[in-house]
Amino acid sequence: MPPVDATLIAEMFDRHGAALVLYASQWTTAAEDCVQEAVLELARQRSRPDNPAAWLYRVVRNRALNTLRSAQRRQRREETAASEHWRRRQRAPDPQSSIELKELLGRLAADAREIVVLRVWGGLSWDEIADVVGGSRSGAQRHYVQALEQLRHLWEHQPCPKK
Amino acid sequence: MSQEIRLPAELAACEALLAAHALPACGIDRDSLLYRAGWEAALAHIGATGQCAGGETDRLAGTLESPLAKGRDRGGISRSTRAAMAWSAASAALAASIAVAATLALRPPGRPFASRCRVLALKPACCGSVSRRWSMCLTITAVRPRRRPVRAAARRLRRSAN
Repeated sequence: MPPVDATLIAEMFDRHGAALVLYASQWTTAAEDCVQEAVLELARQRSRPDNPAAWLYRVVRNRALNTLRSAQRRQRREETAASEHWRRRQRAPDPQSSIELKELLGRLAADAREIVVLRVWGGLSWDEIADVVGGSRSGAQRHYVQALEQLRHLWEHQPCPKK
Repeated sequence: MSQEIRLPAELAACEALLAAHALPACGIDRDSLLYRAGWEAALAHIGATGQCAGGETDRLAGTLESPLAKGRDRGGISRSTRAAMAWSAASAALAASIAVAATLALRPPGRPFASRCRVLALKPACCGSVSRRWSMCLTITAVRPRRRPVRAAARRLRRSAN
């Protein structure tokens, strides 16, 4: 197996960087940190993974889920100790483009949203998607079609999305 | 069996619309990330190939800490860079002092090179960590002698001729 070189890392980041951040932001607000750690993890690999893109999405997913669990644990601890004001504090606002896309994806079910990001912006095959999310290929396809139907239904009652 | 699914036309259009939606800009510094990835790869390579034995790898890993991480809290200038800058400044000051001292020592006897010599203790901004000994700079103000030896000799000759 050939080693991981700088060209591969740069290519993966250029091709999938923004999509990986969007993918991780489904679970955590520290999406960029998860992506950076995943890229560094790829650099540390002795040999090139069979499918570097799918490997990156899987590592980002695991890290984002771990971050989410840690944040939930921390939040539970804070909520028992902190005041009501602390619980109601506002997060930093996202850029407008990010809000639009996140709002759109936020209307989908969690499983479907993940598969849409992997398929549309990640460009993964159905087998790779099934491998990343830990389900079957037909299940992933079913979720995807349902998500598209839901989006079509939403867009029928709204103006077309901005490009 | 084909891997792809056949989407109805309206869902395919919906998929195309979604794909055309611009992704939010990624806020990650690409150059910094690739630089750090290079360091991580180098450290992993050293650890994997075992070019250094046992604890030597850990020691080397500490030595090969990324310069970005080293100088993070001091404007991105690492400790080694700062030491090199201080040594350069100290060496330059020492060389200048030696040059001035040599010039003064080798001047012709009876012919003053300079009528005034002022020594000023200056503390340049870049020499914060350099000792005061090396930050001492000599400033020589060269002034023409009021009576040049040639003219004085000519005047003496004229007097003796008269």
